[in-house]
Amino acid sequence: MGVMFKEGVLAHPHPRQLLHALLYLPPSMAVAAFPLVGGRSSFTSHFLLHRTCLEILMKKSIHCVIALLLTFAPWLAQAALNVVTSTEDIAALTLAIGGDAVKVKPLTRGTADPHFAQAKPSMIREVYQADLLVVVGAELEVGWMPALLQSARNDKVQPGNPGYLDLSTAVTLLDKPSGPVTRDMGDVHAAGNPHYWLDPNNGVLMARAIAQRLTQLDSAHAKDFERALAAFEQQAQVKIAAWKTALAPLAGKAVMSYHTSFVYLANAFGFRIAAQVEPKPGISPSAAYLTQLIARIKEQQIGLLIMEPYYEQRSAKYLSEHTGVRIAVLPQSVGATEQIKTYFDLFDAIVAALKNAGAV
Amino acid sequence: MDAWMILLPAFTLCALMIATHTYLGLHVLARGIIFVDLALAQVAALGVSVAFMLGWDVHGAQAQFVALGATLLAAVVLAKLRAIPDKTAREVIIGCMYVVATAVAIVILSRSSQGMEELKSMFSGNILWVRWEEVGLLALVYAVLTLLHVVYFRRFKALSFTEVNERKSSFRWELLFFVSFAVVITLAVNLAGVLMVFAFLIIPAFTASLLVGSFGARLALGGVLAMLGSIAGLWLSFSEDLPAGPVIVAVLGGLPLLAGAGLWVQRATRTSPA
Repeated sequence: MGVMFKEGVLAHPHPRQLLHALLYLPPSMAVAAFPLVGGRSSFTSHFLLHRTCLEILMKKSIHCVIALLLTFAPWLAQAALNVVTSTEDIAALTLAIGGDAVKVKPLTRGTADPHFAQAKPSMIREVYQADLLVVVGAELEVGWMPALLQSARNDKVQPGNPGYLDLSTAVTLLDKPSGPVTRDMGDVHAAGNPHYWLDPNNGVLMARAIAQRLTQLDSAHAKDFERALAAFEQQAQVKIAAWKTALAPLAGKAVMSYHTSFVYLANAFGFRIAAQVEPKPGISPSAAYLTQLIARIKEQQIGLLIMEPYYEQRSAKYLSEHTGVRIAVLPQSVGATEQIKTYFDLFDAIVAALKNAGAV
Repeated sequence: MDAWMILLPAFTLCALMIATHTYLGLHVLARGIIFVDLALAQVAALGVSVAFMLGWDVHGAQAQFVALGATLLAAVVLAKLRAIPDKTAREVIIGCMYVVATAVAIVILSRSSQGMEELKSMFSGNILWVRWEEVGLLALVYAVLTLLHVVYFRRFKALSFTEVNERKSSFRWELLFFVSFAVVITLAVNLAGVLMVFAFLIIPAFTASLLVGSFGARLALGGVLAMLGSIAGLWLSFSEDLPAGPVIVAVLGGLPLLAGAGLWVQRATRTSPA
């Protein structure tokens, strides 16, 4: 308490200091402290000291109430749900629905491949403090999430508990392998292709699942979540129509992609992924395979190659030089470039990238 | 979660590694076969790559046995190495072992998805996500090996610290030394990665050797320096939010520099007229 009375500290008192000063001091000291806290002149302090006891007590109790409110205001604000997401896409969606009622932290950056993550201390701390962990699922994070969940020791967000939301359960996955999955097949996910956020219709389904779970965990803000979801869905409807118009020239066309990431985008906008640069998902092409691809590009008249920014571009350039196929490097996630901040920004950027490549 | 809660498993792992690696590092330095540990660590990584290719979990028991098998095989070769009188030839064989093991691991993993990422993680490690069960198993095995080396301390020391021609040939003890070396390295590479294993083996032992003379003093000083380096590295990793393993290695790299600077200052003050 001693420090409270030093000059300077009290010139701009923090609400909590006010509270402590006024609540825990004996009335007589509070009287003496009050003019100091308020930074009043010596005249007013003199004047205050001559007030009646009753007046002083009233004054003190009013200040107590004010100080109490001031103290608990930040605490109320901190009651926002701590949401941790595996990717920036989910973080953007959660923020769009949760608004001020949530604090969102993505574990990976949109510039990096979400299949992998390097362990950093902050990741453990964030998962430990999380009220809700939202993941892409479908084994996208299988390489690192189990180890992280184990290290973070937070029962709330373990799979099966309300604090764990696997969004892959909210959408219909494509590319579900029919037989058993082996290492031989490359990076094939048993549950299906996990890149489903690249279909904006799935974005709506994801937003709905997030809204539902947020409501379950924080029913006090149910109305807010409902309103935000309605606004999101309405905007999505308008946006999807605009993107469809913009990408109409691509409809029915045969396109090749680097990884299997763009099947959902193709599905949403009516084009066809006719070939992949990778011979098997996650495996870089060999020289012999690239030669085969050149034949296939010519045969099937593939005019466009789409790929994520984080894959090597030499194979694509090689193919382009030999066949004239256009390359479009598409952002695959929110945060892939600094301008892409929301889920809608992502598709705006994809459409812009396709336009720049001369694809539409 | 408090900083120490996040860092405690990683710190315990570091402490266990320091306890065994500084000792083995002094042996390796005395033998003048510095890259033997890097070679063995890489052979362990190669074993894991083979297991990965066979579809086994990289950190599972099967992968560890494959890695251990590969490392033991390499250990037998290294134990035989003593018979070669030419020091350069020995270093050549060790160097080749490292390069070839790395190359074969890359070739094997190039056919698998995520293989290169696995190789990278075997290299730099992910000690922050280490589990207590893993640390416990490591502690158990290390305790057994430590007991072996405490009981036969003189025998092992004589093996490394005498010239080849003076030494009575005892391939069995030589093999035992390399087998314990192989076990220590295989388990450590699995949890901490090749980089950290090599750094913990060589850097503290080397730094201590610069400063003090006797085996015991080097062991103690090396252990203390490695501990300080690990604490500083983990703290830096936490405060700046960086991957822990590589940061610790970078910090340990400062130790011989500091020791060298200290020696230089000492020599300069001694030679200059007082």
